[in-house]
Amino acid sequence: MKYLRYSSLLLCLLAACSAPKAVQKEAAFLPFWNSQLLDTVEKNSFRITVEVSNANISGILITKRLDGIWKGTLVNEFGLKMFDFTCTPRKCELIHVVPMMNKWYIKKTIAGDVQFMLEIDNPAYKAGKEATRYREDDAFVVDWKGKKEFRCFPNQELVMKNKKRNITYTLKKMDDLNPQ
Amino acid sequence: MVLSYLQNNRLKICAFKNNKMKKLILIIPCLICFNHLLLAQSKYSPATENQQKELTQKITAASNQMKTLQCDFLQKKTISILADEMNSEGRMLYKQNDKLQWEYTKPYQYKFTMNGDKVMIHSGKNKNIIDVKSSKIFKEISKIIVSGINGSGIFEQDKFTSSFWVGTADYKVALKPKQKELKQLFSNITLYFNKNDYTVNTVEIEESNGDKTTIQMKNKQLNKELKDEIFTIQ
Repeated sequence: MKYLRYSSLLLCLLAACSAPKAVQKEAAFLPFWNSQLLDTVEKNSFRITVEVSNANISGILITKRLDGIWKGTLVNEFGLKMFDFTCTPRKCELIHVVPMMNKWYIKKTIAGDVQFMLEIDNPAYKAGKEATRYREDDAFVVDWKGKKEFRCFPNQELVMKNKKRNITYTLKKMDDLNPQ
Repeated sequence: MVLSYLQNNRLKICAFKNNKMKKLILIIPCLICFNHLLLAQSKYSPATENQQKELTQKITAASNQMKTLQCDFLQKKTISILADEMNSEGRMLYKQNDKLQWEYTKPYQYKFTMNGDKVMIHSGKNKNIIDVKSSKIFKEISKIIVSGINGSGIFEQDKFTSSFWVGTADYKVALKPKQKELKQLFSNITLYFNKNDYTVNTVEIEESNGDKTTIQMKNKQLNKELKDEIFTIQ
C-alpha cells in the first residue's frame, strides 16, 4: 500500500514534468502548409521559378497526393516535361528527366529540395523534425541547420532556398488548370 | 418428386437462358463499341505515292504563300504520372520566315517572342532575352513551333521520317524524329492539315516519356498585316 502511494506520487510527478515539454514541442512544430496552399486530396498547381547562379528556369509544378505518396511533374510553359517525381518522407526520386537535367548530382539536389518542400510538415521526415520554425517580418520560416530555408510570405508567395547549392525556388499557387 | 425435379430443371434451363441472354446483352454493345473503335481507327488511310506528292506540293505552296498567320490556340497536355491533364490557351502571331509570338493568356501569362536568332520571354514580371544559338532547347522548341505552324517540318528529311495519311476531314502527317537529341524529347509529332487551305489545324506532340500535348489552332487569320514592331526584342 505504501509502495503504491509512492509509485502513484512518482507517476503524478512524471506526468506533471512531461506535460509542458509536450506542449512546447507541439508549439514549436507549427505546420508550414495550410490546406489552401497545399491540398492533400486535390491536385495542386504552382508557378515556379528556379534560380541557379545567373540562370533561371520557369515552369509549372503540378503535384497530387496519391496513396500516401506525393507524385508530380515540372513542365515548362510550353508543356515540355522537365521531370516527374515521387516523394515520401524517406525517399524522393526524379523520373523521366529531360536529357539536359539528367545528371545524378542535379537529380539528387532537386529531389532533396522537392522532398524538403513537400514533406516539411510530415512527422516522419527527419529534416522536418529537426528544422526550426519561426516568424520573421510577417513571413513564416522553416530553417534546417542553416542549409535550407522555406519561407511563406503574406502574399502567399513561397520561397525555398538551398543555401549550400545556391538555388532558389519561388512558388505561387495557381488556379485550377482544368477550368470547366 | 418428379414435378419438383422438372421444375428445378426448368428453373435451371431458364437461369441458363437468362445467363445467356445477359451475356448477349453485354456482348452486343461491346461488339458495337469495338466496331465503332475500328471505324474510328480507320478514319485515316495511308496516302498513295501520288497523294503524297500532291499533298507535299500543296503544303509547300501554302507555306510559301503564308506571309503572316494569327490565331488563338488551345493546348491540352496529358500528365501520365497523375493521370490528369493541364489545359492552357493563348494567341499566336507568325510572320514569315522567323518571327513568332506565342503567348499564353490562361491560366498563366507567358509570352515567347522570337525574331531571328533572338528570343524574348516574359514570364510574370520577369523578362529574359536569349540567344537561340546558345540554347539548344529553345532552338529546338522554336524550330518545332515554326515547322508546326507552316508545316515546313515535313520537309526536314534529315530530322524526321514522315508518313502521310488521308482522312475524311483533314490530312495527317506523322513525323518521327531521327536525331538523337530530338528522339530523347519526342517520340512523334503529328500535324493535321486543313483540307481547304493546307494550313495546320492541330499539332500533337508525343513525348518519349509518355505525355502528350495537343495544340489546336482556332480563329485563323491568314496574311493579315502584322507590324514588325510586334516582334521587336529589346
